Amino acid sequence: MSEARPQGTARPVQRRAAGAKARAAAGRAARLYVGYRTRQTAWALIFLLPALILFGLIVVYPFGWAAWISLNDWGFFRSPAFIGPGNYARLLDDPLFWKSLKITFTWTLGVVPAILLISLPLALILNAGWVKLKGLFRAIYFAPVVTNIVAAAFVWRWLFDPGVGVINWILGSLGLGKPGWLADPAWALQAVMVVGVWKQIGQAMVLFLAGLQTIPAHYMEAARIDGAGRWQLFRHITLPLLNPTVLFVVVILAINAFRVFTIPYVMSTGGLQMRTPGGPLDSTRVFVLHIYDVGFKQFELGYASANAFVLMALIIAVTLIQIRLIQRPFEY
Amino acid sequence: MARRWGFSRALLALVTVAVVLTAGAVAVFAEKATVVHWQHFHEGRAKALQELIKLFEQENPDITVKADFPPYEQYTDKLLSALATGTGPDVFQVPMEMAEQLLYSRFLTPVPASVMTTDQIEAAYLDWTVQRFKRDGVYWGLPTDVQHLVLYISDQLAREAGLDPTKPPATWQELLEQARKATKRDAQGNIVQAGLDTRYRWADYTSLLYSFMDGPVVSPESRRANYDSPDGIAAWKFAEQLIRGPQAVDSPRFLTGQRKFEQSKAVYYINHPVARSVIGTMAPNLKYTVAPVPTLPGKPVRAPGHHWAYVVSAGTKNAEAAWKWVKFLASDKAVRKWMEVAGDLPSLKALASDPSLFATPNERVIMASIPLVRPVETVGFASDQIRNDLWDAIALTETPVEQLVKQYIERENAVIRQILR
Repeated sequence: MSEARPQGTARPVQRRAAGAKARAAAGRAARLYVGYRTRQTAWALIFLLPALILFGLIVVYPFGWAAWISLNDWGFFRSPAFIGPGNYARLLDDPLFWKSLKITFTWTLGVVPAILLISLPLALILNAGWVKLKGLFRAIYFAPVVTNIVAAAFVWRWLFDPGVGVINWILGSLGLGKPGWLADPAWALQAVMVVGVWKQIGQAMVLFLAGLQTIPAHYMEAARIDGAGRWQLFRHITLPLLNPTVLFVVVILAINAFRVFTIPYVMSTGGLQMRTPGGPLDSTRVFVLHIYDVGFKQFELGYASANAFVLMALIIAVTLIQIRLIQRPFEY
Repeated sequence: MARRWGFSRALLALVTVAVVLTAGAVAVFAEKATVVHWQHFHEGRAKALQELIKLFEQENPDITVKADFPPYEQYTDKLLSALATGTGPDVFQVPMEMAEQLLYSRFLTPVPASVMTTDQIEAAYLDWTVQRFKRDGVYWGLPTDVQHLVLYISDQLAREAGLDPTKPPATWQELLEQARKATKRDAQGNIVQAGLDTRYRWADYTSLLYSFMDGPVVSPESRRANYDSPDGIAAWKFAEQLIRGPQAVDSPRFLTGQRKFEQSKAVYYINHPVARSVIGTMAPNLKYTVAPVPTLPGKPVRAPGHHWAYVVSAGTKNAEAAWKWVKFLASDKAVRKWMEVAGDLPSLKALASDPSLFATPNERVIMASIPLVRPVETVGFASDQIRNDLWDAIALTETPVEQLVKQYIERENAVIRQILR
C-alpha cells in the first residue's frame, strides 16, 4: 500500500530531478538559440557566396598573383626570380615610363575638360523645352558611344591622313596649314585626343541629361518668379544640384582617360607598314600602351605588372582627389 | 579427328571475324588527330597555306589541320600569351630573331630523329635557313618564309622620269640620284610621288646596314649591336639623305601607312620577293622590274636574308601529327607551292639552283641573288622596333644622326643583354 499524497505534489527528490532536467533543457536551448541578426548575416553570406567565390577567382586571385609577379624578374622566356621592389625602383630610371605618364596626364587634362565643356551645354540644349527632334539629336550624339571603336579609329586614321585626308582638305580649303597629324610627333597626340573626345561626348551628355531631369521643376519656377535670369538659374540652381552627376561624370571620364588604349593603339599602328604602337616616336604612348609594350612586346611581365600597379595607384589617387575637390553636400 | 579439325576451323573463322570487326570499329571510331596551326597573316602565304592544308589532308586522312592567321602586329603577343596559358597552337611560326629566346624557353620540342635527323636537315636545307634554330646538336624548327631583299622598279614611272628600268641603279649613290629625279612635289613642296617607297623601313635600313658594314652588325659574343661604328653611322647618314630635308625622296607624311608602290605613287621599292604576290593581287596591271639591292662602289652585292621557322609546341597533345605537318610544310612539294603561290624563296638546296623554278627575267634576278644572301643577325624581335624608331627619328627630327644612333643603340643593346645574359 502506497502512501497517499495530495494531487499535484511530488516527492522532493523527484521535484529536484525535474527542475534539473528543465534547467538543462533550457541551457541547451539557450546554447542552440541563434539571434535574428546572426541568422540574417548567415543567410546573406550563403546567398553572397557564389558572387564572393567568383570575385575571389577573377579579381582577388589575379590581383594577388599580379602583385607577386610585380616583385619578380619574370619574362616569358625565363623562370621568375624574386627581386622585391626592384621593378618599382627601375621605373624611376625609365624615361619611357615618365614619357608615357606625361602623355597620359596630357590626355586626361585635355580630353576630360573638353568632353565636359561640350557635353554639358549639349545636354542643357537638348533638355530645353523649345528644342525639336530631341530624340534624333540624342541618337546622333550617342552614336559614337555604341560605334565599334576599332572600326571608328581606322576611319579617323583615314580622315587624318596628311595628304589625302578630309581634315587637311578642309583646312587647305580654308587657307590654313596642313599638319602631318599621325605622321608628326608634334600633332599625333592631338589627333588621337580628338577621337577620344568624339567617342565619349554622347555618354557624358546622356548622364547630364539624366541628372538634369532629376532637378525639381518648381525650383526653377520659383526662381523665375523671383526674377532670376538664365545664367543665374544655371549658376545657382542647375549647377549645384547637378553636382553629384558632375562628380560621377568627371570620375568616370578620368578613369577612362587613364585606361585609354584602343584609340592610340589602332591609330598609331599600321599592320605591315611596321608602324610602332604609340608612335611616331612615342608621341602617343599612353600608359596602358606602355604597359602592353613592356609586357607583350618586350616580354617583361614582372616590370609590366609593376607599371600596372602604379597605374592603379594613380587612378585611386586621382579619383580621391576629384571626390575631395568636387563633392559638395546637397539636398533637394 | 575430322570433327576436331572442323571445330578448329570454326574457331579460327570466329576469331578472324572478331578481329576484323574490332579493327573496323577502331577505324570508324578512332578520333582524327587535329593540328592547330598559327602564322601571321600575309595575303600570298595564307592562300598558299590553304592549298597545302588540302594536299596534306588528302595524303593524311587521319589528321586535320586548323589554321589561324592573327594579324602581324598582334601575332607574337597573342602567340606567347596563348603558349603561357596552355591554350597555344600545336604548330606555329616564329621569326629568326626570336630563336635565342625560344631555344632557352620551355615552349618548344626538338625535331625528332624519326622526322628528320640532324644530318638530314643539314644536307637538305640552305645553312643560313636552319642554323639559328640549332642548339645542343639538334634542331628545334624547320624553315619557312625564306626571304632576301631585292629592289623593285615601277617601269612606267621610271620611264616617265627619264630613267631606264632595264639599267637599275647598281650603287646606293645611283639609287639616290635616280630617286631624286623621280620624286615629284606640289607647289608647297609636299611629295606627291616618292622616288623610293620607304614604308617598309626595315628593308631600307637593313639593306643599307648590310651593304655598308663588312663586320657583324650584331656581335653575340660582346652582346651588342655594332652600327655605331663608322660604317654603321655612314649607313644611317645615307638613310638621312633619303628621308630628311628638302631633297628627301619620301616622307612619312606622304600616303602615311599606305602601299605607295602598288598605287603607282613610288618608283623604287625595296622588299622581299614575296611582295610579288601582294603586287599581283593589288595592282595586277603594274609592270615592274626586279633588281638586286644596290651596293657600294667596289663592294659585292649583299642580299640581306631573313626567315621564320615552323616549330612544335611543347604542350601539344599530337606531337607526331604536328611534326608530320611541319615536315610536309618544309618538304620539296610544299616549298615549290610556297614559291609558286606566295613568291617565297626556296629553303632547300636542291631547289635553290633549279632554273626551271625561275622562268621569268625577274625570277632569274631573284635566283641569282640567292648565293649573295647575308642572313640578318638581329637578336630579339623588339630590336626591329627600336631600329624603326631610329629611322623615324631621322625622318621626323633634326637631331644629328650620330646622336640618335648612340641613343637608340643603347636601347637595342639593353634588349640584347637581356636575351643573351
